[in-house]
Amino acid sequence: MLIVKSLSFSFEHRRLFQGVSFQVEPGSLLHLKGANGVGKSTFLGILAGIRKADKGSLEFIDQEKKAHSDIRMVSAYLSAEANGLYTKMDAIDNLRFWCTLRGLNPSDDDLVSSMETWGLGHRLLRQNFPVEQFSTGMRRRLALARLSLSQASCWLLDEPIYGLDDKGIKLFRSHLKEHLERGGLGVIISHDKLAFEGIKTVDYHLKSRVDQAKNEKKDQG
Amino acid sequence: MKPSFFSQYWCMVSQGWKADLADKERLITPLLFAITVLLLFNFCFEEVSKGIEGQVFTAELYLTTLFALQMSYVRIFVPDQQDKVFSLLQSYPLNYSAWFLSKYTLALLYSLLVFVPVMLLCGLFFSGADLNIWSAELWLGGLLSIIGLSTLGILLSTLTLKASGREMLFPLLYFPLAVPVLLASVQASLSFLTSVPGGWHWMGILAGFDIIYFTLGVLLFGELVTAV
Repeated sequence: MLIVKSLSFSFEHRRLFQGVSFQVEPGSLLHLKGANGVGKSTFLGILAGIRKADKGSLEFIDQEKKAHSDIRMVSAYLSAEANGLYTKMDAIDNLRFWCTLRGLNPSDDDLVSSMETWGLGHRLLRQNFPVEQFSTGMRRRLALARLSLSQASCWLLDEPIYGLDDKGIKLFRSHLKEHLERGGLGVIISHDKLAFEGIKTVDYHLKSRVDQAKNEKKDQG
Repeated sequence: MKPSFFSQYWCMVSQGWKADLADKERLITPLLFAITVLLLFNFCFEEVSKGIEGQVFTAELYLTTLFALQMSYVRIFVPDQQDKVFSLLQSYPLNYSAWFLSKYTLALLYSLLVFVPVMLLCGLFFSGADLNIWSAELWLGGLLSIIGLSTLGILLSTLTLKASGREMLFPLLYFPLAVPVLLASVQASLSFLTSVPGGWHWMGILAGFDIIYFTLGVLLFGELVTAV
């Protein structure tokens, strides 16, 4: 279970959001909603450990009821505008590197089969073929292959279907569904509902500063 | 499964090395720059008079190394900045000391790739001079100097990672902070080259600064990385 308590964040003396609290149960997908520029990606970055919140706390309680205050141990993050791949290196090297960094030791067969699952099965794509020569969709598929290899319980997804074709989107949905059925959980930002079509989500609306101020005034009134 | 310190360290070192081999230009440029600077120095100085050979040798050696290594250090995070790899690394359960040590090992390796050829080339240019170029102490002094410069390079490279005008800011910070290491290296080397006593005194100072910079590196790297 992911527990977010009173999270606040300011950027260059401008309050972006404050007092954000929610819980995500195992098997649930939280859809983080909000207008452009409201701070959704920044918020996800805080959950992923890339940024530090000004106030508030994060906690993840795993299936053995063990609490993790550093949720980097149990989460896998997918950024919106980038895939986090060493572009001069090949796909297998990239996958192996990120797995080893997590303490996983997948065999070559595991890596190849993961690539095959994501439609990157052609043998020429695996080795001695730099990722920079992949198309946008192929890079996204490789990043998703890394995500599914991560064995992380909590998926943090920022516009995950960016660049994917119809087949890729279907594949992503089936993996996401499988992850949730296994007891995993996720937080997703996506303006395209195709990303989670057919999957039950819990919505959380991240409010802009103006909306927050209006609400505060209303409460005072 | 919690990843071990050593597996993360080794994974980062081998990945960094592979990433740099995949982009050889970044690896070779500092060395080519160093060779060009050395050649220019030698064309400028022509015949060096007997009394100042030691001074010219150490000046050429350390100035060339300092400038060339600055190019290496400022680019140490370039592979991690592509496709937001750095952000993803921040989101991984990565031990900051393992991360620092891996970058430090790579910086040390790149420094050796510049320093050793520069030293050999300097030795070649000054082969006719009465200098103790092959003394072990001289090489040890060189090693201690690059140990200090590498730590400084990693720290400042991390500090200026997101700074605007990074290419300008890095040398502005690097050169003044490198002065103690440079000064001690030059004095120690000069002493060993010309067989004048006092070299070990300067080596002690050099080792002291290495320890200070390395400790700062281990302690500050995590803070710098999370602040980026």
